[in-house]
Amino acid sequence: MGEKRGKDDGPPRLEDLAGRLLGSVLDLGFALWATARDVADFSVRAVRAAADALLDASLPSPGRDDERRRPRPGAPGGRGDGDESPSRTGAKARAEAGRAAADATRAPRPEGGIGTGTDPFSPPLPADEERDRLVAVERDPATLFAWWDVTVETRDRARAELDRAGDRADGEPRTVLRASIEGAPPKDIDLPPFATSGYVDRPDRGEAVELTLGLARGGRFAPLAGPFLVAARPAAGDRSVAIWRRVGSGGAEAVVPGAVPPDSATPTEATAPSREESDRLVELALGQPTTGSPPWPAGRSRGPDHGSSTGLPSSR
Amino acid sequence: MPSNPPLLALLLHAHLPFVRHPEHGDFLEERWLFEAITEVYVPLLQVIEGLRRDRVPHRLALSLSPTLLDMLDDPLLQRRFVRHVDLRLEFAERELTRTAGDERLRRVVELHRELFRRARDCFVDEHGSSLVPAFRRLQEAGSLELLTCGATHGFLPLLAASPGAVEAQVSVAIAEHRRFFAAAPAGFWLPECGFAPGLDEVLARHEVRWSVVESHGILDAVPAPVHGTFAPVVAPSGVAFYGRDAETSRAVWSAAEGYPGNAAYRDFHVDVGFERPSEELRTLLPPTGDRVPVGFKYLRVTGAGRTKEPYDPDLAAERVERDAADFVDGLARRIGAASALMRRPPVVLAPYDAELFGHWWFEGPAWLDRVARRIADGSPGFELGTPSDDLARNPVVQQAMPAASSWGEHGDASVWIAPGNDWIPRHLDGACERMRAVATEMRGATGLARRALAQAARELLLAQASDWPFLISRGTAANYAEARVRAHLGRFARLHDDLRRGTLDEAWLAEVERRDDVFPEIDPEVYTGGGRRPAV
Repeated sequence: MGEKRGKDDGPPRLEDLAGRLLGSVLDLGFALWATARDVADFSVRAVRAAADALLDASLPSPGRDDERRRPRPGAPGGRGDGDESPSRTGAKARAEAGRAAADATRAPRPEGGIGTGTDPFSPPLPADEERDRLVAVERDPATLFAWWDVTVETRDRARAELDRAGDRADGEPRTVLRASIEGAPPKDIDLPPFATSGYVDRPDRGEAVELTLGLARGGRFAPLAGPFLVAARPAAGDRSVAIWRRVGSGGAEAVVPGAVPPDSATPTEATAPSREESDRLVELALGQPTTGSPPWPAGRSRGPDHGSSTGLPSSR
Repeated sequence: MPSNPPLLALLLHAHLPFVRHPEHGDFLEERWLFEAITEVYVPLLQVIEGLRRDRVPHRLALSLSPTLLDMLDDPLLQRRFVRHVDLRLEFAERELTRTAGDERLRRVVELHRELFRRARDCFVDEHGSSLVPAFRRLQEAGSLELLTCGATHGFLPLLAASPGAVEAQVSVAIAEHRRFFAAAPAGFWLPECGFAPGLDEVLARHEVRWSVVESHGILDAVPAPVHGTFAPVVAPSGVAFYGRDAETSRAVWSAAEGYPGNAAYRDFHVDVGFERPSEELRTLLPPTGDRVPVGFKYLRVTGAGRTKEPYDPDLAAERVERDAADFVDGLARRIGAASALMRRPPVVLAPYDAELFGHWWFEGPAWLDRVARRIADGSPGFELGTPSDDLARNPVVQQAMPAASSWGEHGDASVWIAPGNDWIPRHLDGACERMRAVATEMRGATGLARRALAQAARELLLAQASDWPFLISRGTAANYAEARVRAHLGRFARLHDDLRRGTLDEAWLAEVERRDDVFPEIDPEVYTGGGRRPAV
């Protein structure tokens, strides 16, 4: 913005400064708009700024990865557990490997290689799905992940609906994800204008929640996609109630305790251990005591912690 | 031993994503397969064949993923494997010359030469360059119970949101298993142990009898299991679920206290591929010149803060013996304690990635051998068996629905839905919806259209692999993983659009078929089943 000034041109003039400031604001505004347009999701806890355009610009090339080895299969403790490999110096070695890889001379990438952006056999992804839909899945016991698509026609229709019903002086409609729980007023979660996915806190007690994507303005709501029902999370089971089935090649059939004749060749006794015995079995299974409260909140069990020091029983 | 003893169900899950790049003469990620053949699958076959030869009672469950089966059966990859191992045998000879004056190091080089020599001899001479029939023979002989998993190892709880997606993963997997082994599997390995209520119904439709979930998938079942994880539960659909045993997993998997981290064992990370001058590694490094592991690792773990010492095979063998004894003895105590509390024999389900044994943990196959032999001598009081054996002997099972769970970090879906990879589900879902629509509308298509439909189904399955978001979330080979997802979704999009518009390009289709030639007999209508979108 503006002509380049030489060092002997004296102090900057106000109009030059204003011009530069305006240019900076416009550049910043464009950057924000471009970023907002490219935002692929929102998060109530974190904002993700990556986008397809940015990803297309960063398509991989052989040698750009820090570590070109097979990491996924069989990584001890690293089966998603986040543990390091068993080597005590694994992290250091990987860092060294990364440096070595970065320092190595790289040969030119082959033309048409996977992910080069010029590969005719890697066509671009569709920019949008041209459908109206909303889907949500459980990410973890406390969080849902939702994604959606909305056609231009549906968005225009919803907006027109709001315009007919309300006062445009209320401002631009907001894109919201409406979460409805039985017995409670719906909660609207504001979304960035061009977001197509995001994370939603699950209700504290794991109740069923209905999600609807829509436009909101002045207390009014026009749906865009959904509703999508997320079922309630099952409550922790009661160990005192046991139902028994006989499993055979044709599936499972019910077993009535006491009505099953004893058979020494194929034991069929369907008698449950006592509550204390059952608790002890859970302790043995996990290597952790289960007296008192369970070691994890009901419905939020995290399974064995592979970083714990429990190991095998101390009697070994 | 009583007629119905407690069981240790050792389950090895062998899987690699489909990494076949005929468009390149040498592609780095194909080495994943070659390393696994050398270090895992051949040694595993040799361990089992050794147990059979010595008449040691044994029985293991082995999950072979459909993509792995396809790659093992692929002539191009078979030829490339032989080239891979031949180059390493040549390098080993040069290394033996170089280390002539260092007896300790030379011995380690010889060990590596022997590793590659055995791999080549077993692969080429004993099994005619195809290992799949060997696994089939071992199943027919009773050594193994083979099971399948998702067709491309898709994370099923996430895919369940898209009608038809889970059905496609399961039905294609079972069809592939039948193609290779002439029978449907009784067991089904849930990729990543990913389970959500409702998935059992899909398995039941395909007559799957048992599957495996993470420990808390059983312990949080509804109603709660009375036997902890020492017995399975059966879902209302009739599929039995076994829970991963936490203690046996910790003994092997834990970075802090697991066996593979012992100082005597071979260090995985220090590889000559990062140590030696490039010109010496010329034939082993990729064409790009990147420094990568080449499979020659001469040092042992040694210990934190210490200079790494040369690997000592005798020291490692001693440690294997001790760790096998520790594992069996510890398990015997736990099983004994559980038996006293139960009115049926306990079963301990110990699943591991097969690639742990031999690749990540070099001594793993030897440890498996020693464990099997220790158990077979009868003193521990339990046997090796499979879940099918357990169900046959103990058919009365508590009914319960396992909880949503996985064996990923935090035990849920967070690895596969995280900043960095969470752009993927929306595209997979959209593609699945379009696949169902076009396959339904073009039902009965023939010729070029049918080929395009089949290829579209393949591309979508390949995009669904759980490996890609996992690699992205871990930041390793992330660029490659992302490129794979984009490539497959992009190919699917073009195939779909060309089908809709009637603009199929046969030459382009033929090239895509050549590159992604997995599941040759796939039914293009495989996505049209599966019902309506379920509520989460």
